[in-house]
Amino acid sequence: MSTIVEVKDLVKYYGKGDNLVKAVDHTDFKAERGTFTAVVGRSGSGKSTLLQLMGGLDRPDSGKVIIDGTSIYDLNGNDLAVFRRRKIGFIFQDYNLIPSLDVWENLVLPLGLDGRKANEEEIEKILEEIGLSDRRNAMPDTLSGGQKQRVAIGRALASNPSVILADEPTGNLDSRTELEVLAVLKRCVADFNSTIVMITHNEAIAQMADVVTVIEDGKVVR
Amino acid sequence: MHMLRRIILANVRYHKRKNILTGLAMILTTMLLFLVPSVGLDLIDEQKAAVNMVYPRWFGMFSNVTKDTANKLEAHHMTGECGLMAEVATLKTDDADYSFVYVDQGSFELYNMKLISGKLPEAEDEIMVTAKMLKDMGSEAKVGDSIEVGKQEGTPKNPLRFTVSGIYTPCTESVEKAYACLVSGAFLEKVQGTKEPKYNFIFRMNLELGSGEDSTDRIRQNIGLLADTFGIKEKFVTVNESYIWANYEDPTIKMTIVVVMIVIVLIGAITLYGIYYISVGERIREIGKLKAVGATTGQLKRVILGEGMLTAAAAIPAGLLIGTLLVRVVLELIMKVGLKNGVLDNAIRAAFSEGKVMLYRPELYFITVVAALLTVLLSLLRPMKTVAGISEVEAMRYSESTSKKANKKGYRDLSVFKLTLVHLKENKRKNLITIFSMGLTALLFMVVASVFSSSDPVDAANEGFMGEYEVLAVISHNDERRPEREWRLVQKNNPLNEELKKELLSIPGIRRVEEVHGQFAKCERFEGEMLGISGVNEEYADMLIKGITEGHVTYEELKSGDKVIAEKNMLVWYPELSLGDVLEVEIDNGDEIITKKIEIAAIGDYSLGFSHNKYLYMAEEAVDRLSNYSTVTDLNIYADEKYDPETESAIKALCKEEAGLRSYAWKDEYEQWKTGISVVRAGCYAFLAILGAICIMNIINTMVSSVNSRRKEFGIYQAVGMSDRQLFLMMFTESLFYTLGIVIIAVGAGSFIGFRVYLLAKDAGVFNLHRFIFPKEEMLLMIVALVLLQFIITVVLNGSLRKESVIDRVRFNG
Repeated sequence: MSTIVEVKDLVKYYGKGDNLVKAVDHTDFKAERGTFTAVVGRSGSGKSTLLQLMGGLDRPDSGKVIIDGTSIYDLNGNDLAVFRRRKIGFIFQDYNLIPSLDVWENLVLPLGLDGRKANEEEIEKILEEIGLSDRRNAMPDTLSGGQKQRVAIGRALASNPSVILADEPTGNLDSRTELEVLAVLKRCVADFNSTIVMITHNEAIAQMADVVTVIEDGKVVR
Repeated sequence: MHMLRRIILANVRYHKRKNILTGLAMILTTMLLFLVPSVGLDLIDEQKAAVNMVYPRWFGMFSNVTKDTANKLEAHHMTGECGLMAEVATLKTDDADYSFVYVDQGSFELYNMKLISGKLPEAEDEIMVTAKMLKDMGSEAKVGDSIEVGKQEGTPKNPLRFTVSGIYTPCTESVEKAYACLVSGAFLEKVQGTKEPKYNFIFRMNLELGSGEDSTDRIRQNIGLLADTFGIKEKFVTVNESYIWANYEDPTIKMTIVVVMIVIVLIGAITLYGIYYISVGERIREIGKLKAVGATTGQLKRVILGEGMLTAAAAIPAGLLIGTLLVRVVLELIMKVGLKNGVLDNAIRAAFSEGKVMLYRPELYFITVVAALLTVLLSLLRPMKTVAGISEVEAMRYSESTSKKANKKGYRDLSVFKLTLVHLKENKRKNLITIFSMGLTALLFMVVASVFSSSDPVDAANEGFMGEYEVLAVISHNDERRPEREWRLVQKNNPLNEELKKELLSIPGIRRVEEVHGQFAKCERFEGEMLGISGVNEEYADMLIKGITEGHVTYEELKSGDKVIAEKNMLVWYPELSLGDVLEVEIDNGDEIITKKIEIAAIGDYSLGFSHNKYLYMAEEAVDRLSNYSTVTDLNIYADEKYDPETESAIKALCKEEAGLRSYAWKDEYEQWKTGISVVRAGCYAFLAILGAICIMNIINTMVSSVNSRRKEFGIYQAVGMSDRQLFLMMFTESLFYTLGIVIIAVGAGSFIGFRVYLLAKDAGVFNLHRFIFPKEEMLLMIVALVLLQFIITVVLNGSLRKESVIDRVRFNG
């Protein structure tokens, strides 16, 4: 197995003096291609910041993030955006779907931004996989929390990225829906040969992953 | 502090951005509401003050009045200040003209003459002269000294010898050597001999101010009434129109100002409404919370009203202050650009610099405040109603980005352009209000531009002129004071003769002199007015026939003299006339008055240069048959160059007023139009620019609130791969849709209305308009300005977005 995500000596501090928060503090991390990795940590441990930095959503103070052989912070803003839409898929805790786009449009959004036409067969397949074939024209506000998160998973899969980064994807869901969404996520890893890095505060959920990494006070401890 | 007041204050602080924009729109609206009527009324008042400095103060003059009638007139209750005057004699020498006029104390004062020394003449040999006359004569005579008037080297004529009884300054001093010498009643009686002297009775009227008696129309009416009471014929009645206009109310001026103010209020209200509408949309959750904790509908309405009024309380005084400061600046600018060196222009300048006009009117401050508050109130009515209708639960659940639809037929593929369209469709109403508000000003711009693009000083001057110079015979009808100018005499002894033509042609640079023939007709249907009939030369037959807008007639038929073409404008003055009417007219053929029937065979639209102020057209030979003498009324002079000062002065030297001639140069006409058009154009565009600035507040607000409410959405777009460039492109494309909407309204409706307004202006003779030119350049300028404005706003907004990291935007929960 090859390394798809590599974090080297990554640093991100917020504030100054007494208010200094070491969100990510000289941390290293690796995820192998085709695996489902969970990063577990308590609230405030820096896990979300680590994920955001891995996805290029924020800039670190120092250190490197290498995805699929590319050091992403060596890229300029525009190139980073292009890299993100081609190589990284995101799943957020609060779904972050575009409310004015229907399910289908939300799915094909990263492809559209990349100037690519959607392969309708593949999108249909994803819709089937996430169980929303019959809701393709539904607006996000008419969907339940679980359905919204499944759309977010579909969107992350649509551009066939090198890695999917999931930030507490089940944080807003009840326990039944939580399991349902995780099942979809796991199935997708298998079916689409995806790599997933998921952060969670829930140890039990983390146990569903292939690899579990623990983060404390901004550092990966195991 | 009362809780509602506390909430209002807190809200005003919290929604700073919106309140700054509404405040700016209110400041500009108030400023415009104050500035437009102030400058308008000030200019009118400056002109009125100048007229009062230059023109005599009497309202009316009855000529040919006996002393006895004058006494009765003086005693009449409608007569106010009055006086008598009579033109006694004139004396011409080679280098000066003297007119001997009898004036009594009343006339002396009503003519605004100022006594320097001495008194009005009483004895037969006494005279009162101007200091300028004495200076020009090289005389150092003082009161009591003897002078000779009309002394001329080498002439056998004896000059008149007088004793100077006084020295005075006239109301306006003539630049030329033409002097009014005031003589006594005894001198008048001596000159009249056994004939009973006839006077001009000049008078003001007793007016009850504010009773409606003091309107210009009523003054005219009362003068007519007074003349009727004493059996004074209309031809002996003169109304001092300029003075009356300058001193009494003309309702049309007030009406125009009210209309302009209504336009400002409407545009201001629409702009503010747009801002408040979006603001209420953004604040539905906040309002819902207030309702949930017990605020009543009335209290919520008061919160919205209070916020608006609190902003207005700061903005309206600021607008008034800026307006007050700008009044003087704008007036100075207009004086600098618009005024030349004429007597009235100089008087206007003097009235302004001497502070003869009150530039700031307390009542206008009051009206402006009321109108500005009305603007704010109008804009708040709908948002207040919206607030009243918000339900607590719905409001708490409400999210601005919530889509109202459950399903939609979306795109199969997406692009930045398609994303733009999706957003525009989602916010149709908000966008339409913004587009409508700005579109209205843009539409006004296109309407104004349609008139101005069609108005060219060269065209305007060409419309009023055929050739480069024009000489006309000074003709009057039934003017007892100028009997030598009567048309009957002018026909017999026409100064526009072959000799004059030859002399004109001998002036270097003049290549052609063209006669314009005409006659004058009196008809019951013209309410006793004398109207000119133009005799059109065969050379211009095509132009004459092409100008027909209604009916049909050939040039051959017009040779008969039984048919005429009536000028379109004539129907404005005499609306009861129509095609096919047969007019029974009286025409003076030089020897006798003949009656004739003429049929209005067609109606035509002709330029002023072609019509020479005449309303009826016949063939030249038909007009010639209507006189036993010469029917030449004008000469069109064609020169090699459009203007040459030497040619002009040579023409002026030949065509003097005393010889019954008057000359005009194309250049003067052109200069007049050039100044007039540019001043009006600058004023209109400045007004529209400020209106535009008011509407820009709406665009800024719409775009800022759109970006604010979509900050999270933009974050998500960027998280899934939208580049900064794509984000900028999306924002700019959206803003271009506003431009597109505005341009569609402005160019579509604006062109249509603009063309209609052009036609109306053309019919009314505004700027001598004659051909419509679509305002292409102005339209392009407007589009470029709009695109540039959108670009700047987008750059600023995009810059502020980029200050945040993508994840900050994703996390944003506005």
